[in-house]
Amino acid sequence: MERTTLPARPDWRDKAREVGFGFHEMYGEPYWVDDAAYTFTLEELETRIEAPSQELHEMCMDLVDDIVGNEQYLDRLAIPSELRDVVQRSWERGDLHLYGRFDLAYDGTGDAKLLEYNADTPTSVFETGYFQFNWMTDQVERGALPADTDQYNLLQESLVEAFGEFPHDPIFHFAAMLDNEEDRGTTVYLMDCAVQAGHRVELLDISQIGVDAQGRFTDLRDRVIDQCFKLYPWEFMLREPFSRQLVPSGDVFVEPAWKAILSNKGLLPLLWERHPNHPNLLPAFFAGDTRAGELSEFVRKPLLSREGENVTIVRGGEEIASAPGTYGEEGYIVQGYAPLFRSEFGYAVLGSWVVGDRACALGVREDQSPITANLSRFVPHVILG
Amino acid sequence: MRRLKSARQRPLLVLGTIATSSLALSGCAGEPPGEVLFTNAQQCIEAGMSQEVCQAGYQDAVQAHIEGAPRFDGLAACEAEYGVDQCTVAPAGATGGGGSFFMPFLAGYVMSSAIGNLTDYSNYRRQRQAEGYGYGSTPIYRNRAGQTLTPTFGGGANTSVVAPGRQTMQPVNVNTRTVARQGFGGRSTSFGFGG
Repeated sequence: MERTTLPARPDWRDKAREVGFGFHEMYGEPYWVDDAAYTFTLEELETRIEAPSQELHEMCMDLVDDIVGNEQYLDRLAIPSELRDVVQRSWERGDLHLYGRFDLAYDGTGDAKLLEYNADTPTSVFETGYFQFNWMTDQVERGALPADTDQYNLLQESLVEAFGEFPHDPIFHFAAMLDNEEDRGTTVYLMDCAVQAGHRVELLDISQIGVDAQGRFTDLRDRVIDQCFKLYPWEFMLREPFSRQLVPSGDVFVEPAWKAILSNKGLLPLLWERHPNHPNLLPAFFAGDTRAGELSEFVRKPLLSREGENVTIVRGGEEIASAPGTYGEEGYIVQGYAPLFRSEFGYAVLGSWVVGDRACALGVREDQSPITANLSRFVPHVILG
Repeated sequence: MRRLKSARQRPLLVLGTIATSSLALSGCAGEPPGEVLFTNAQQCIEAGMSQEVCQAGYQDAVQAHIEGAPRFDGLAACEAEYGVDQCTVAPAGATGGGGSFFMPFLAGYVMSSAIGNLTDYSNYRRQRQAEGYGYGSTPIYRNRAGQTLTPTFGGGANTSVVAPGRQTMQPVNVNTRTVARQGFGGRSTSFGFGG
């Protein structure tokens, strides 16, 4: 793994505008990087990223099976007790899932280490699956990259294929916070993949979901919602007043409710407990566990947290970085520290995608801080050699 | 030769772009395109859609209906499901078998209101066929309770349409009355939820 620079496409902003990629700048900061790339060899990519991601996903799926029926585990993950039936039912029914993204620490040597599994509402899907791919084909066409350049990127076709597995009879509703440009863009991109898989689709704001007298979810035309992608976290849905509606009708959502188990950072100590010293795992413990005190270099993370909020990094007894936030009331985990790839441009975290049950793509994000947050930049990657 | 980790050819965004489709579909720019139900081609034309599209859609629905309508081995069984005088003898054919079967009347058909002309419709039909649905527009039925039913077609791109049994007729997206809204989204912030 290396970071290389190359000339940006002169017209990349127009290209972004053409496809509606408005969030190439976010919160006043550049987000998309057109003049650089992370490079991998094919062997490195297959053995260090793809194969471990596949294995990690399978380990996670096995773990869901263990956790879902175990009240003690569900307590540790802070799954509200009155909604455990919804989570269990979705797993027992075998409700299909769509996608997830592992965040991996990999500094170019040794094994990639799992930082967390964004298994419920992962974003950067458009950047990874679409814009990054077009960037590569443009750069090859311009001669800035060799003709045999490749990319680990079957994200879009895997999404279309995965959407094809869902029932085609009902309308596929898509719900997100539409006033957030990034969330809306991500959702519309996924909706496009669903259309390519032959679905009828309809978009609505998450707050526009209604309910009828029988407790079924409804859309703005008073039709029952039978199948609904939501870019809204399960941990919120399970804790809002409207959650009582999930008991009769919570099975309509994608991701399914059982993803609440995988997108929870309590997954990390449970994985470590079951697979101690696995090469792609870092030691991890629930806060308060005496073994957590034995880690000299560690990262403290809330069970439920997004965009790096409330994360603290401690090395050699000193807090070297911490991010503010509003999370943490459900508890924390402590995870061994793993160095990220570092260059003069900052730290890089690898986002390794799983669609359906197959590891299929990579997106790299870079940040000035070792805690990757929502101001991080997306840098494309390529396979050379 | 090394294994490729990315596609050489990739389908474009069918909705056009994420910008225009967000506008078109979020409801900010008038009525969003959606599925529209017509009882006949005339009603479709009166709704402002192209005459050719309405007729092609209707013909496809009739064809799908003849081949794929739910079949019952007695009139009573059909009427129990669809109501008195709502059933007829099914034409003998490849999917209907040789004996006398009964099937409900076609109640109408469903098409996307986004289809503006025959070229759009042909693309739509090609898409549906590629997905194994066989037809562009979807026939619909109404059961005794007034619920709208659409048949489930089986198989992939190269299989013929399977006549659905009655158990495969599931009401989807039934019309109802909303009694409350603004349920989810209470913990929203100005930031997104991407992890």
